[in-house]
Amino acid sequence: MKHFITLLVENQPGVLARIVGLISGRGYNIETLNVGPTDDPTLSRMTMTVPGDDHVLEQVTKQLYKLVDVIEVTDLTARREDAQERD
Amino acid sequence: MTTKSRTGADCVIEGLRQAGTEIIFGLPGGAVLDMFSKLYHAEDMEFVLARHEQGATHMADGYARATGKVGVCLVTSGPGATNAVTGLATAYMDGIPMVCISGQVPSHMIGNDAFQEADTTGITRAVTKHNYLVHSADDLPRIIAEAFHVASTGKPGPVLIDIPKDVQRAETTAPACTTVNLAGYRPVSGFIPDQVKDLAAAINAAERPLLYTGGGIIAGNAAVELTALARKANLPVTTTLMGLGGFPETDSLALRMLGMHGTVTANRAVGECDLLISVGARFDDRVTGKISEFAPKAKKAHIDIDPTSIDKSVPVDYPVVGHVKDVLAALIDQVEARERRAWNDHLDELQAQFPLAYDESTDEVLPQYVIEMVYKVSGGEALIVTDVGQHQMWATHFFKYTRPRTFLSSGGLGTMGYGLPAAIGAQAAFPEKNVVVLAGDGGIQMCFQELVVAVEHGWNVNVMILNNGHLGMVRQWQEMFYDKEYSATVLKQRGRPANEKIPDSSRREFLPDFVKMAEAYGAVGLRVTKKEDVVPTLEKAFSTKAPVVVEYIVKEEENVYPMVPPGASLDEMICSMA
Repeated sequence: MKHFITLLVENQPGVLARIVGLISGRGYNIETLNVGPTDDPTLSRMTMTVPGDDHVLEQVTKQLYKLVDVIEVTDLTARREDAQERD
Repeated sequence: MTTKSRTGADCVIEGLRQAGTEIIFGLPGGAVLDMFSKLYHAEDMEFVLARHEQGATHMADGYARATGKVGVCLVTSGPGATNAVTGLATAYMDGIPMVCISGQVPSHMIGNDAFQEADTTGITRAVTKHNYLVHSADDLPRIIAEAFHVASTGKPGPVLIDIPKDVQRAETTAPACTTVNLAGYRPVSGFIPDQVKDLAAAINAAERPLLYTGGGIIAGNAAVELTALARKANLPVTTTLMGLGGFPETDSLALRMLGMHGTVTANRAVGECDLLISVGARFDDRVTGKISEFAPKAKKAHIDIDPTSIDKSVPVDYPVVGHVKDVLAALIDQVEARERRAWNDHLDELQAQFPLAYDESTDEVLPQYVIEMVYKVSGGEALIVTDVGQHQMWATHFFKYTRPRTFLSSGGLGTMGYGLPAAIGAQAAFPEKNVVVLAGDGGIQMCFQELVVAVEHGWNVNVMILNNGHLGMVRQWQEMFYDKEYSATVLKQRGRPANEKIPDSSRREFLPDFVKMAEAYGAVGLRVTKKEDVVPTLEKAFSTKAPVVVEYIVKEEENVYPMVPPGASLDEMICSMA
């Protein structure tokens, strides 16, 4: 199952390494990753695709939320499925 | 109002003082000289010079566990920081509040393979709750305040602040930081009343409920509430290693520790209960055994401050996210005072039928006997600090803990070498308490050098070395699961396998000589080889006004029972080798 995760994070050095480290440290591969600025220069938006087991990725999402530099985590997977069904 | 200019190093001292730091454990080096120069004049903060950074971090950890305050350590760049990693990981796994400040090479040298350079924030990312590489002295007041806040709130943990030398020297007019505002860090406060209401109803309906409590009771200062709840509703209590002391083990509701080396009663109760209520415990693999067969007949409830702990390894029917102290207080009001005579009587019978026991008739010195005598001679009042291994498990069996923060042990990481320096940190906080280290002959050698710290400060730790000539717990696994192939577990000078080439010589059987080692450090060294000397020696040690090291030559091939083999379910306990 592919997961589409989007994060709002502090725009600081080391934040990307922290997030990637948390995911790779649990043996998951990041398939796509995009980082960009937001209207607020102190924050960045990250979007990534991570294939993996639902239960474990739910844990990963929760763990990401625990990082001090991470302000918001959303798993878009469910929403995307809804959209596809409507199509 | 403008703040007067001072250096980054001044801001560090200012921030530590503002956080209420009374004592710092550490070791200097080139990259932290500026902070040490300021510390020289900070007479309100005691500095404890450890002899190895691992020792410094365990001291800060022991201080934190014994007091509930944030432990502080200060180490240099490169090897100073890498030596601190084990102590940080130990604190991280057990959720212990700590702030570690490390020096770093000057900013312009970072990445140049400079002398004593290491990517400290990179290395410690996975073993800290959060860490910082400080880029400007202007940020220091805020970062120090944030570090203490993050370390001590939510599920506590260690935070590292890496400060390059030029940042320590730079001038700043940044004001002291009085309020912390972290957009991405909002520790849980309060709880959802409906979750508590549902759990209270489940408890009231349960015939065979069981409280399974962990380190969250200690960290959350919730022992009083736990005891009141258990007694009101007659809920039996089993405790994890981290939770020992959170519920009085002398109480008739106490089933004592569960898990791999838990009591028969505790593990049977897990198998038979109809409602398992985990409070501040995380369903660790050493507790649950085979996870799919853990508490198979029970609905499960989980109270935890850390939302990620819930549903992590076991699906939970009644999740409650919140501070355990608040949640337990609410539960006390909502649970019915009711008898559970059949369930309580059944567990009492199991306790009588399967007591924790050892061969009391033998003339040999058994390690279990020594620990039971520590309990008796100290009147149960000692603050016990263990190392890791067989003695650690026996320390849970033959000493009964009745108050929080009286049993300090590396649970999650299982760090050998933890005991002595952690005891020194605890003794620093409570110089008058009887602090007793229980250690094996393997682990004690990993941080033995810190004994000198106890001697020079007059902290009268009592170090009990249970010398069985082996790395005992690993040897036990080899005996039980690897056909007695004692590969690399024989520490004494005889009986090693052929490839560990030690010519049989006239050397003494046990090296080093721990009595001489103790004396070399200025402590009192004693040795016990006979059972009848155990009690008199303990009496002497506890009344000596100096650090004392007692070496007990104990039976070599003694095993810890009960034992649940790794990966087995809790009802597959082995109770003896017979």
